[in-house]
Amino acid sequence: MVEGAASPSLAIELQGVTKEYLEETALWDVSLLIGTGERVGLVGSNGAGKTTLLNIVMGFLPYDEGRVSVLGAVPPGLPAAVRARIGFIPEDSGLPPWATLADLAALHRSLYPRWDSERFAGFVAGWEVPSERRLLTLSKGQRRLAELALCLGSRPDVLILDEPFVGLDAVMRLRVAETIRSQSAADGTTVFYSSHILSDIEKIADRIVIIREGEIGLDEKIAGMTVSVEEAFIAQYGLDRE
Amino acid sequence: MRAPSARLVLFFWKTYFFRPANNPIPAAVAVLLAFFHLEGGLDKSHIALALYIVVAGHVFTGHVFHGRERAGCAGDESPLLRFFQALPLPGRKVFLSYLAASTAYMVLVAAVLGFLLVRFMSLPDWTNLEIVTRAGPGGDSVTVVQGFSVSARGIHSPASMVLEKSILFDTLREVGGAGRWITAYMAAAFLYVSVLPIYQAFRAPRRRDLPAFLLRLPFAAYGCLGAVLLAEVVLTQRTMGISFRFLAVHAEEAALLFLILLAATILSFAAMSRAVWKELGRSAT
Repeated sequence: MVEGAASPSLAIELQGVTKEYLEETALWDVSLLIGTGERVGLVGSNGAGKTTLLNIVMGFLPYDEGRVSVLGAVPPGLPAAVRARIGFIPEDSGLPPWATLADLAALHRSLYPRWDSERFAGFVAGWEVPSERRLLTLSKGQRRLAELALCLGSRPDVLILDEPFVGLDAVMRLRVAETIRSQSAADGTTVFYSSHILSDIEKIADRIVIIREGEIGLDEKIAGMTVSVEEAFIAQYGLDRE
Repeated sequence: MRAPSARLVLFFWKTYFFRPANNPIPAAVAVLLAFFHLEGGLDKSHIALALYIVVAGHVFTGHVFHGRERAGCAGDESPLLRFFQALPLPGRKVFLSYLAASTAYMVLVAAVLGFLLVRFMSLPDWTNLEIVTRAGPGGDSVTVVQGFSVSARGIHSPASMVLEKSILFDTLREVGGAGRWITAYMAAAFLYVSVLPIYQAFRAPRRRDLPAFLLRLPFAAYGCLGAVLLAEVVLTQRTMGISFRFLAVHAEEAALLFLILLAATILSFAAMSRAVWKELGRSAT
């Protein structure tokens, strides 16, 4: 939800979050409220703080100031039960390269209480991902699809995706975007994801957040915007249209 | 349903430790032992070498959470680490499951090798070992361990014994040019896996830190030593180059060097484990 609007439940809440690395400020006073079932696209240039923000939400990075809450729990150190309700994809493929997708599906089945084998098998067959080959032998796009299939197969309440379309061709981007959008609509899944590609944002998101040098520059519902996402981005970054 | 930790232990065993494509060491050791057995009987030096290969190879392959190419990259936000952190399990339980799988693997391999040692050969009479110095070829003094293992050519290092008898190296010698290329490839591979981590330590600004660089040194030392020994085989077309003879003559110094390298590698492994433990501490609770 856009800050200020009323909502009975929040999936993700950030209030005045600041994160500093040794020599630079990665995030400065970031506040963001994301309601249950919302689909929020995070856009920004390289080094704007997108990955840092997502890693803080996942509890992978400590933050210096502010308050963060995900499904009612405070990262870092999310309880395992909360973690089981979150699907996450890092910017670079994090799947163990020595394992097969079938190995990982068996592991996920034993760890995620809501694991849906049928749904997972549907994604794997539909996207034509080899499940019996070691992941290091798959292409970058196939590994990405494998990650997405595992992520969606666990039927998460919250999906956090860092550049989910990296390595996918144009057709597959459309298919995956449609899948994420329809699954989110059917299950009420909250989606919070980052992308460099503005056209990807509109395929899934209802709301856009533009981050610039660690600060939120724009946070609006796409349906209510008077300009396109691209024009909003250009305006935020003060770029010349030419 | 099995407990999640047991499931993880089985996962590491099945996908990492006992899949030959990922960890060729058990298969390679089995093949080597089979060769030696067919050539005329296993020797205790073969078993000693097999144990050394298993222990050093296990550590050398790097920490599973960082992968082979990231061996020594302590806490550098490895995507693989992110995968395990995202699992709905306390992170330290993930790490302990890996340690349990790793330890069980080592115990099992050591038990098999120990069984072979007892089953196929008489145990050495350790009380009879004696280090002596005597006149060698050309009048030089040669230090040998009497009562341990003596090869046909009077070389007393277990490593050189193995190469002396090895069908593999005899074959390489016989095939001539092709053998050279195969050995050259092996030497290049050794150099690659040893030098690459050092290059990676300084490649990205975030990794340009002294501890990460120092952690990589033992790996590099192993790799470079292996490359030098193999390069000698390429250049001299002999199963034993100057280094092997040097090692045989200076057995005590060589043993000390290997012990220092092994200790440094184990320390490096422990340091990596500490970094992973700290990072996984930010996982689920």
